[in-house]
Amino acid sequence: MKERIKNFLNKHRNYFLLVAVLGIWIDIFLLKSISDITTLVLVVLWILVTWLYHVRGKFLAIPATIFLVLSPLFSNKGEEAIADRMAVWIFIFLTLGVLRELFCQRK
Amino acid sequence: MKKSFSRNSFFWLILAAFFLLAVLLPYYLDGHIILGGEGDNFIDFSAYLNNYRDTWQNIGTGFFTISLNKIFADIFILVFLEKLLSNIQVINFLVVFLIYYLPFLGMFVASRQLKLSPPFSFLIATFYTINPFTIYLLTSLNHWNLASFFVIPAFFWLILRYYQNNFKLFFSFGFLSLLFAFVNANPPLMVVCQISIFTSVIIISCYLEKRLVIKKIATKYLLLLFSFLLFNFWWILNWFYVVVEARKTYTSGTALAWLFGEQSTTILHKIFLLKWLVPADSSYNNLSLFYNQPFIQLLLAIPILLVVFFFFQKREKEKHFLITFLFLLIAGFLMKGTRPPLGGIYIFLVKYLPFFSIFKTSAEKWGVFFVFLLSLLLIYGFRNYKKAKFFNLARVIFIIYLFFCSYPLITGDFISDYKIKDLGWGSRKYQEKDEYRWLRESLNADKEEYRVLSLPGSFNYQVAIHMYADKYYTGLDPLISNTKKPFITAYGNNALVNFDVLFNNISSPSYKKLLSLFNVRKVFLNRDVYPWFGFSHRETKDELEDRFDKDFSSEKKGSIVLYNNDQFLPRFYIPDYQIYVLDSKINDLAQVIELEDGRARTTVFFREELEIDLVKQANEFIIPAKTNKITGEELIRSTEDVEAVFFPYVKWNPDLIFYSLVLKKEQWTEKRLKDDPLALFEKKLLHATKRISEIERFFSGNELKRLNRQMKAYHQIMKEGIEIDNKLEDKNQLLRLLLYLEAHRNKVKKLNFSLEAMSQIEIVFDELETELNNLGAKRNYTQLDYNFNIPFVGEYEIMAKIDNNAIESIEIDVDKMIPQSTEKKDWYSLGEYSFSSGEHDLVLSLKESPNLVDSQDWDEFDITKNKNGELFFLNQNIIPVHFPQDCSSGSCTFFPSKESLIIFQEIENYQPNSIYRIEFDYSSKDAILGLIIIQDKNRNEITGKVIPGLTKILPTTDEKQKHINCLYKSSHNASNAKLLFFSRVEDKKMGKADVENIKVRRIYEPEVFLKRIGTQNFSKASQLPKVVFNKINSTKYRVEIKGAKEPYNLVFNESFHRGWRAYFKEISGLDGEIVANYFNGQIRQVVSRNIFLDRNTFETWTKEPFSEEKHFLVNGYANAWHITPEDVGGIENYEIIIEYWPQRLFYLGIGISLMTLLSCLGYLIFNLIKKKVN
Repeated sequence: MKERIKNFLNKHRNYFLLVAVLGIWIDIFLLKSISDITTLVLVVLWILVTWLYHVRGKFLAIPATIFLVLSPLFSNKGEEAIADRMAVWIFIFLTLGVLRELFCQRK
Repeated sequence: MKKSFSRNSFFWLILAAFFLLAVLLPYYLDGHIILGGEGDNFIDFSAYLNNYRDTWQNIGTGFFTISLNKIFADIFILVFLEKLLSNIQVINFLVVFLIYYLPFLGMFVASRQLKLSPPFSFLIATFYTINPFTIYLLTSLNHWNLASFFVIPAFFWLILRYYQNNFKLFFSFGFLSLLFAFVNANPPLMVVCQISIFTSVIIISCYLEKRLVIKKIATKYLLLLFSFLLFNFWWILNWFYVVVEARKTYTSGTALAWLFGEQSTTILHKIFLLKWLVPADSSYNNLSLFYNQPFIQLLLAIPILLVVFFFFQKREKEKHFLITFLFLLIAGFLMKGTRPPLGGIYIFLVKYLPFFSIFKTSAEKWGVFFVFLLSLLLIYGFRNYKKAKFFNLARVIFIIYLFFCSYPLITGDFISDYKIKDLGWGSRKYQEKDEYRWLRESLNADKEEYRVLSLPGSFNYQVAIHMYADKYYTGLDPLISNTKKPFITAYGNNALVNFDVLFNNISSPSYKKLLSLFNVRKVFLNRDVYPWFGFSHRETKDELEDRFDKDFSSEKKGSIVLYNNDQFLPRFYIPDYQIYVLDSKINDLAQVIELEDGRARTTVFFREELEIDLVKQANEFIIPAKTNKITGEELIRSTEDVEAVFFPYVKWNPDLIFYSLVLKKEQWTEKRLKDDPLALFEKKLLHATKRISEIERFFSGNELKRLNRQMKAYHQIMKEGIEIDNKLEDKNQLLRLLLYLEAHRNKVKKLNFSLEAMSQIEIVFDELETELNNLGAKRNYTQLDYNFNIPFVGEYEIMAKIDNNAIESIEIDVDKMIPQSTEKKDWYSLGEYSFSSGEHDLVLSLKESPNLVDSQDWDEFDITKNKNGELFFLNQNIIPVHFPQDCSSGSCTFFPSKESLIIFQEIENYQPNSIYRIEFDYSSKDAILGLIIIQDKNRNEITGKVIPGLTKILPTTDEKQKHINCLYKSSHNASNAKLLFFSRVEDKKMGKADVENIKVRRIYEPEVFLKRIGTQNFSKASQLPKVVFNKINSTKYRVEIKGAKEPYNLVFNESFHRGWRAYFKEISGLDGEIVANYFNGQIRQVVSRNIFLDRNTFETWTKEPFSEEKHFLVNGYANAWHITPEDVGGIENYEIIIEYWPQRLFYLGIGISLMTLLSCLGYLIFNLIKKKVN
């Protein structure tokens, strides 16, 4: 059963990645406010994607870097709310990255 | 050569010092100093030492010290320099220089200890000091708080340096924490520093051991904690005593209110740019202008991008990097406070984690820790990844970042002037005016012990003082902070005393007496102070001057006027007249003083309960009669518009199968609130409004049966609301029910339902309205019901503070009336009566006040002569209207057209702090009618812009006449007011609005007191014992009593606190010059000594104090002891020592800390000798 679930997840990992990326895009650009539930669901999805793709923690810093560059640009444009929602994802990606690295080193 | 000096740490340290010297010196040209804000307001450190050294502070009427550590190495050094140099400019420069230099030094030594080269250490230390967050926070110049920027990296440096040597670690850490004990004066920063110590141990352990060794971390941290506790025992011990009272100032409710207030500002992205403190308004000051430039925003992301770059480069087994990074992210999460995402975690911590509520300014306090961790990550990066690809690029980018960040320093405008809205510019450049120096010096030279009342009374502790041109000093008042005499300020209310009574009764005829009870000998008025946050008294500065000139002698110099109160009660006195006021508080002090017979040495016992022992001592017994006064909420409700009622969005159609679940959920929430009737009442109103919203969304006008069912449900909820209201016994809620009922009715009216449906709905509304009106929602404002509880059978005189012409009749359940009446000052006697003990009622029928507006006397407001700011709040909304066609009959009709009109007239005999009832009938079609009250002093003193006292917008009535009746309370400082009407039409259509029967009447709510007749005779002054007192320091007084044959009360005019104790001592004579003599030598004061420690310091440690029952509250704030001959062994001449007990903890703590220091030094010397011998 465990194997079957794992196989299923691995088989559809690209879809999970797509949903996770789209989810962030929707969260940043379409939703009007920051919702804890949405954020938590997306975080869980990203943990799953990280696990399915065996991503090293440091690579999670890539989206954080992108948002770090974009966030001041949006802030300059007066889109403070979007800049803030990007900052949420900077936090999350950096935290996930650091925790993933610590987890890997534990092994 | 070049290589050698760049490798020398001292070169970089000296370079930074010279740079700082060069950029700071221009501020001191022209004789200025840098002063302002919350911590940089001191120019006389001896005065500061005098006021704050002990466990009891010499401020206001005295207050217990929370942070004893505010005074240590810093202040001692500054006092020493003050005495040595006598030049405040040099001392101020040194303080400001160190505020900026120490963070640099701390981070530099930490970087060097982490083996980073001196040039890179210089860069990191520069980053730590001049990044947008630090440079902005440093401008607050509060050396207590800002020293945390030094101690956090300095502790890190010490822990890393002596990690392997336990003794050196213990001693050096403890000694540094002792020297910088003042950093812990701010509780949240103290906790942040403690957390930084703990995290430093983890990071350093990880750095040295290459892994997390829990046992070692625990051992090292416990060693540091032990060292910290022992070296700082002298101030920590006091914390245990005051923690309960101190916690009251840090409640979770206040913290959450503050945090939620901040929540509206976006901050998350600013955390990574380190600019969360920089105001978004570019025009605020030079720093905000610079950091809000678009290209700078991108540049500000460089440090965090570099950290992410180093994160990519990170090699295996560099766990310390990851741990530091994790701590950085945790600090960032805490900085955002209650803001999403997961802001609930912070709310949970504030609510349930003990003491976490101290972190109400989350971003500022955690920010210090965040910047430290970010600097550490940069140190690791620049040290470890020199061979990484793009390292040189990273280095260049970092230098560019630092270059841009140093721009404010290079331009010499990093402590820049800042915009003060509607006032001018705040400036840190301060030059003390001659009159300020004169005031400080003359008060300091006066050896008499007394207090000074500071006027004008600002609402906030941050005041704005005019300096020159459009420049203002803003911050804590430098006059009050630098004088040895305690000042009473309007913002000085604290947990022990409320000074409102002194600022609300300045015009009272008994004001001198009131001041005397607070030991106020001088009143100083500073005409340079502007009402930045408003004044707490009704009088303007000119009116204050007129009022005091009338009754007080004065000395004037420049903008300062110093008044002298000749009716003055010294710090200690024995009263000759005692008044017991039952069921009353300090706020009634002014009225009580007005009622009594002008005795010089009065004291008042305010008690909520009857204390027979005290009543027996009292010469006068007063009971206030209570009445159901118009409350603030009632005032709000009366002016609230039906438009203010919120109609919630409803999702579910009542026809759906699971709609019953919606109702079940509502019932469940109501059930949960059954113990909180007020909350339940609110819920009922919400649920009733929901039923109306459902009608609006899901019903059509023809479904009579469905509609009937829905209205039944609505009726049921409203009826339940009425039932709850009956239990609440609060008329405000009844008004609320009427308001909601009207709002619901208006909502349904707009739905265009069939006549049949409407009549069915109206039946329900009418039924509810009748029921509510029967309950007496309409209040009779001319008939006041008072009640009072008479504890003792006897005769009482009833006094009311009202003009006797305003009284129509009096009804009273009385045993016997004694036909006699007297008048006293503003008080009118309602007669003398004989009462039995128990509850009694008094009904005061007052004449209705005349109409205060004239129906014919309306003026037109000429909008073309609109002065700057006048009626600025209207000009966007007003569609010009014609002058009323005819106002002669009391009816005014407005016809909107292209011409402008606002009509107004003055309200006659307008009084401050009074309630007015405004009534009129109006009708309107396609127009909205507006009503505004403008009071004379309700305007910005600088710009003159009007702040409306009352604004009420009335919706269109479709020509039906409607009666308006609202209550309004005049502001505390108003002396005249205008009533304005204006009209507005939608879409510039033609509309019409009529107003008639306009009445403005004052509602009287007189204070009523009952004075017991024939109480005891007062003591003869000659029979009272003689008193000589001597202040040893803020926590100890010696009082010599001579000729005490009878029991007496010794009043000590200092805030009442359980820590004050009185001890008996045989007479030994008080040494020193007599500096003050009161009541023909009956009370004298010996010159104060201000001794911290001498051979007599511990004289009371073996003595038993007078029992706690002897110690009680008088005058609403002060201490008193009832002393009988039995208490002192029957002797007549003796000494009483009054001491603040927690000072002993201070001495005890000093002993322990001193022993620790001496033991460590002894061990160090012993080791050195041993080493030499070996």
